[in-house]
Amino acid sequence: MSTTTYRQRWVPRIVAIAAALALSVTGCSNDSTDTPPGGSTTSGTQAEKLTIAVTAPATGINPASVNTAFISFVLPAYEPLVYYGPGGVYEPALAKSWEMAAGNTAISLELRDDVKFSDGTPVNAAAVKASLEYCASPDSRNALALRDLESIEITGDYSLTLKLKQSNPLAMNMVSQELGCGMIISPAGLADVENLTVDNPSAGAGPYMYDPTQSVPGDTYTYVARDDYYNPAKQHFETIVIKVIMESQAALNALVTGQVDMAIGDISTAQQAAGNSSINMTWRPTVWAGLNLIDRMGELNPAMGDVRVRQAINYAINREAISAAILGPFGVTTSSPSAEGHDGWTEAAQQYYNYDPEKAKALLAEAGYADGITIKVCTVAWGGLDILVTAITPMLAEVGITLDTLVTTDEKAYAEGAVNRQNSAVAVGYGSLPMFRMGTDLVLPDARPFNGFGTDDPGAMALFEELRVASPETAVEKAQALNTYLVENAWFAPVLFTPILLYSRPGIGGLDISGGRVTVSVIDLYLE
Amino acid sequence: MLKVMGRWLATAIPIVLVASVLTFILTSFVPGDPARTILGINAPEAQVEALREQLGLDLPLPLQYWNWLTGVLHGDLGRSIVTWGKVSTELGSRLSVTLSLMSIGLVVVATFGVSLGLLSAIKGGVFGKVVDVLSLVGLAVPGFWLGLVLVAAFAVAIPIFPATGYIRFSDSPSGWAMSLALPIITLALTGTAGLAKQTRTSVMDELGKDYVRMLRARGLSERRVFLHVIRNAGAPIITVIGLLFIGLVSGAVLLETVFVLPGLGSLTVSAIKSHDIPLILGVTLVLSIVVVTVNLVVEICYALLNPRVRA
Repeated sequence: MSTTTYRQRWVPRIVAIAAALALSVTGCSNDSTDTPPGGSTTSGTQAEKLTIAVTAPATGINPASVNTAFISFVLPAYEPLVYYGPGGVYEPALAKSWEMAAGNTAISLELRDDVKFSDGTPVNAAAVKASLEYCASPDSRNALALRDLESIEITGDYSLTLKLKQSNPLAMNMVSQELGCGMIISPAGLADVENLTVDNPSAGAGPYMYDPTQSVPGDTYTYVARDDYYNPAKQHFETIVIKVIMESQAALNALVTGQVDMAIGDISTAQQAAGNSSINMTWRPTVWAGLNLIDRMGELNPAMGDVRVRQAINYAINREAISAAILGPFGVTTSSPSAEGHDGWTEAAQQYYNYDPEKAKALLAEAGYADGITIKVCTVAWGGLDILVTAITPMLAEVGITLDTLVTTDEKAYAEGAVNRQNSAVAVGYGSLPMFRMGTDLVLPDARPFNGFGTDDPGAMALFEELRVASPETAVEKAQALNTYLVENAWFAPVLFTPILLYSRPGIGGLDISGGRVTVSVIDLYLE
Repeated sequence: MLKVMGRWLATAIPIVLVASVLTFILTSFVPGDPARTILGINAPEAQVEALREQLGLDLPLPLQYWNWLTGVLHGDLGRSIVTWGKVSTELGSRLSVTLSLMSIGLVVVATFGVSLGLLSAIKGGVFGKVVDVLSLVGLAVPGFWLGLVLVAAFAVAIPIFPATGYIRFSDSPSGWAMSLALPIITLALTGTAGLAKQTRTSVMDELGKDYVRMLRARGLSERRVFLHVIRNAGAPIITVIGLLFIGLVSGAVLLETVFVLPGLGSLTVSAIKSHDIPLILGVTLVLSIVVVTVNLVVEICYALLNPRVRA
């Protein structure tokens, strides 16, 4: 399953991005100064206004403090060093070229020399260094993004080198928009970071400038195209408006009546949107939901330390039934945390565990638990994870596994339940990512909150380290090996992929979402 | 009148203070951690703790409240802990929307409600029964549901009004009127019937009293008699109008969400969702002041209608 546009019928469109992704995660060198970020999709005409609806307000427009789920609010105003474009390919932005050192331990960046911040000052190596250092400081909420950064060396007026503490094949992410810090703040903005808020104009070098006079924080965010931007071809609209519409039905109504051009949907309105021929729907199964079997060393419940028990859990779940009941035609079942389009995905891994309760019982008996076991599970009362656990519970009971479920009601209690070693499994929803990134979040012994018991599995770690230093030629193979290992050893019990849903008016282009980059960037959108 | 003002002031300040204290205490009971909400579920605990310290969330609750209160007394409502924007700026940009919605809604409801109530009291019969039935329907139908139905009917199916959003009066007076039309119609449909019933009941009560018979016996015209009746029936009607306005405060939360209006109601929803305590307290403060001001207006109206209140 891949990106699908719905009109009268489903038109599957397989996006081949594996090669591009391999290029993106390893020693890539590019020098195409004439190609703007997103420029490959532009129609070349500038329309008056684009209005998009999102479901939640920004947590700020300061690249160093914004929650990275809200990058769309920042990107129009703050140009990144490199642009992580559609299909998961890094494109030139402030940096016209770059080079990753062998072993993925340093990035050398060559900046354009014709870019100015919105206040007219030049974007040069000194300004970039200062911005990155601010984002790496304790004053930044996104400092974690630069945790591998050891030092920044200015090698010329418009060139610099970032040295890393350790090898990181996804280091380019640090200098892209994806983690916040790659979007550069002007020296004037850094001198007054307290006022890098929604009350004031932005201080970046992006194609647009945030205009507080036309914005209502929490409701409407307006961005006006800059006259002095270095690449007008990237300014597809004179004005971009991001409108917060929390209620999904209201967002769909706004789209149908032409008040917005694009809206982020959810499953509650998906069927309705799919049946409306006047709008387009784009969706992609992305976020895997299921159980994270964190007690895999058997510390709390010795039975969970036996791989056969964890495999039995996987075999006992009727994924097709759950997916059909919860997501209807928009659900895709999976045994694998890596989704199609990502480097770790294989069809075999996705379909590894078929529904086989007899096999589950046999595995339990073989492990010495024929009389059944009880597992403590932590879930949370939002995002459908409580419903998922409710659906799984009778299926596991059928093979003799009883779930003792704790339903939390907030992020804090949920996060505690995932790391306090009081639960053998945690219900999770996790957006599929490149395998190295997922390994960092899920596999490393100190990864929290997703590796709650700190599992240190030599087999998984060996494959992770091989992936860390993999060459472009072998990166996909190594990623698939790690994913397959996690599936076969039942680190998790994924059930289904929930979709990212986008609704748009006909004529809006740039809505391609891929395994490489599952979000749509507002600056990529254009009028066809 | 000065006495009325003095009495109001003596109760208004404690009411606003108590409202802010209660809001602060209740907010502290809401499950969750603002720092965790801001940083996301993946953030390490150490980073969450550092942010809690930076935002002052690690301080004892009384101290947190005292810090907020002293800021307010110095004219500083603080900053949103989520966006770091000034709370006063966020409130300022939204207050006019909510006040427009509430005040125009109230004028419409009061005009139609009182008129219908008077007509039904005078005409009686079938007209009175219709008002009774409509008032029950108005009380039974939830405003947000009616709003969704109106949007589906008059914005999506028959595109007369915009489905969502707000246009500032300064940008386009006609656009402003159109953007407020459906929310105000929703308010009118749910609020008018109740006021009409209250008006009808009050007027009927007065019409049945001895002094009305005496006035008629003295040969006063029906118009003069009616003016006396209206004056005496006015107090409960004004009370209901005041309560209606206060009820619109809570109604605005739902209506602004349904119609995507950038007012204090929708701000309250997003602030609560994100555990943005300074913003929640700021909204509470403003709405408390609005409510006590409405109470003052009601008191003044009482005083104008009844000389004994002025004494």
